Amino acid sequence: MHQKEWKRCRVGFCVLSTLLALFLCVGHAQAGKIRVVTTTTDLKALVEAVGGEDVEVVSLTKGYQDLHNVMIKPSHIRKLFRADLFVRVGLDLDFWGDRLLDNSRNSRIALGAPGYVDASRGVPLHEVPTAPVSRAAGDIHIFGNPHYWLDPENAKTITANILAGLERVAPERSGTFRKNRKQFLADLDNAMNTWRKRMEPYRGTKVVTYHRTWSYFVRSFGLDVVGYVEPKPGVPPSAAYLRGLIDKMKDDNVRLIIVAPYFDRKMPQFLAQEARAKVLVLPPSVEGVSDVQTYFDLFNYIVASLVEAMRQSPVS
Amino acid sequence: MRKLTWSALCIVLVSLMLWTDSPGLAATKPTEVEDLRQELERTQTQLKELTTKMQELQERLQQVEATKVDGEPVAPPPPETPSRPAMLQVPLGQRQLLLDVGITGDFVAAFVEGEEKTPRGAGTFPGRENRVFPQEVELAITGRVDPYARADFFFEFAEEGEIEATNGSFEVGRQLEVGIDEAYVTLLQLPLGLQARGGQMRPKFGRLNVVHQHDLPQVDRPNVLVNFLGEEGESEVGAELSGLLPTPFFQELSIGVYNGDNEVSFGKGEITDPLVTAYLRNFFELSDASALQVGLSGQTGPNEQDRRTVLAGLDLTYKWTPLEQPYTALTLQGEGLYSHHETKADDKDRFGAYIFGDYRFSRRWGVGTRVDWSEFPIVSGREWAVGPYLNFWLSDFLRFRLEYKHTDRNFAGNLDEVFLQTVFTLGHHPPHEF
Repeated sequence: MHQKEWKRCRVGFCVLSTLLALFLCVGHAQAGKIRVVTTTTDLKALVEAVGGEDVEVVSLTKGYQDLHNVMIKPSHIRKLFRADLFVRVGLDLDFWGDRLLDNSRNSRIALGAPGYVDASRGVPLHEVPTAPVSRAAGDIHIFGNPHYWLDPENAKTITANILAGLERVAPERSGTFRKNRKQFLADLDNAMNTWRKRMEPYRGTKVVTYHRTWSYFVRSFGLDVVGYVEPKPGVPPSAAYLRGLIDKMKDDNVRLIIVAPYFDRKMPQFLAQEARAKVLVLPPSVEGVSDVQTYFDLFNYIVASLVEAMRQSPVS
Repeated sequence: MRKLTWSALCIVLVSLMLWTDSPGLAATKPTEVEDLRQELERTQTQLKELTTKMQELQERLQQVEATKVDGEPVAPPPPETPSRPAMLQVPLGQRQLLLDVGITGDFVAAFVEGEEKTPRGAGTFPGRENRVFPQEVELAITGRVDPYARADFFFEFAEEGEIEATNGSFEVGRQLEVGIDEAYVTLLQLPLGLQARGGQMRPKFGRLNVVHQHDLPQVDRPNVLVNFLGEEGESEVGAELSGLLPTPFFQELSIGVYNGDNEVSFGKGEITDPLVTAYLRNFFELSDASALQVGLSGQTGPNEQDRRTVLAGLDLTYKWTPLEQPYTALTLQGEGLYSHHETKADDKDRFGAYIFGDYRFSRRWGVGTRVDWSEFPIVSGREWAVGPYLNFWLSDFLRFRLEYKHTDRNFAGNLDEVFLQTVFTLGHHPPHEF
């Protein structure tokens, strides 16, 4: 090796040493609160319900965002780098979280680490494929429908998973977390009674939804989904399909089409016009609209909107 | 009375003896015994099954009792297995293929007017003018090696074209080439929040060098990258270290050391006198819907004449993606490169840049235009080009693109080209990244 090359190597070594010294400055702030990152605003709300004042929660997505189609950003990596706990929907809805975890450089929240929580564990799933799956069936969820937080009963299992995660990273605060969760469950039971009473007169009402977002909700509250705007998950409808759906809506006397805020409104509005139905835009997540800031707000809003819409458009 | 009783008993006994010796019983007795034996076996099997089930239920009851909190069950510890299996986790008995596999086809039809059958006068795809050809068929295999590392392999099959001078004339050569685009391991959780990559990879240098051919925003790589780094960009063998800097915004510094095999700007290919690269990535979240990335990059290494080449770059990317409209996106991106190339005769300082705007206005349709201006790192000459294009997505896994490109060159005739591209993916494809 020439002297000139050795000189270059020395310069390179000095640069690397300086950089390492700079990285040494990077430390994890030991704040009093547990830093939690969730993939959705619903999980953020539930973590806040269990963690109370002891947690500082950030969601990687917004409540009015389509969770199937999320662009991951460097700022997400920075949030995860500092996190003590990572809570995800699981299944294959927030699959993009895997790439973020790989890039997070944070072993505390890696798969299988104490700070990793898959909120779907133990939740009874609907629409689990029983036949071999293929993309010919559209953007199918291979483990079952992942919108399970829309059945309030499932919040019991979700918060149990969150509680277990919080206890793993901060066992000394276990008592507070358990107390918070107990209160949340009591409030949930009371609220559930109210929601069910309000929805009871409309049990069996036939509706159409854009995507299979509302499967858990409609089963929990007794609505009957007779069709979807999408012929297959993630596949836009053809004119022929829409004609068939209009006929079905007329035959079944469907008066309501439920759409999440991020889906195209033109086709639901066309359907509504042709079948003399009404389009109801409902947020499937907390913070989907400004009035909805907690998990209870979400169902208060959905139930109130549905009751009002069904009252205005009674089935003849 | 006693006599009568004895007589009756004798009659019964004789009758029984006669009956048991009869041919009918001789025929039915083994069948009944067999039936009884089978019945007994069935009962024993059922009993065993019931015992096993009872044991399972007992164990589950004990687990539930052990994990109860205030009357509510608490979830068990986090899973040791992935919650989302890879797209190709095919059960093979008790084993699974724990890796993601995806294969992407990228075919282009290139219609060219004004090209010259010379190495410098050819079109964007030299030797493949007025042809349909596989620009790239890529096999991607990725996954976790162990809890500490992941591995990424990308194999490519592509039709390569070449124009060579032989005996005063030029000959066009084409062949299907198979190669490794990238094959590297990433150590995910080094101390101090560092990550390291090792193997063959696209060095983090600028914005589009790391992007694979089929994921490019246009049919072809921008002229400046082709002129400074080659048609397929730069892929090197070596190692890279990256870390997040302690700043209030995302700032990542990556430093790499490679052989320096790139034939256009470097090419000595010895790790003892390596190609050294650095990339500083700065990301600013302007709002929920918009963000800006500014990248500063540089690399230096020996070239084929054993003199130094220095490349420096600046890239800017702005994206607007309204979250309530998941398929709408506006991208404005530009990248400028400066090259200082030392030769035995003299030093050459050259420059090149591109800028494009891309607007996806619906789930299926998008439009864009790219403008190029570039010199060449060694030979003289410059060119500029403009290329509007139209995208159509049938789904996330099948895309068509129509592009027109006009190139104006001061060293050869002007070119007008039309490209029709189709890109289709089977299997795993990573999520969209900024």
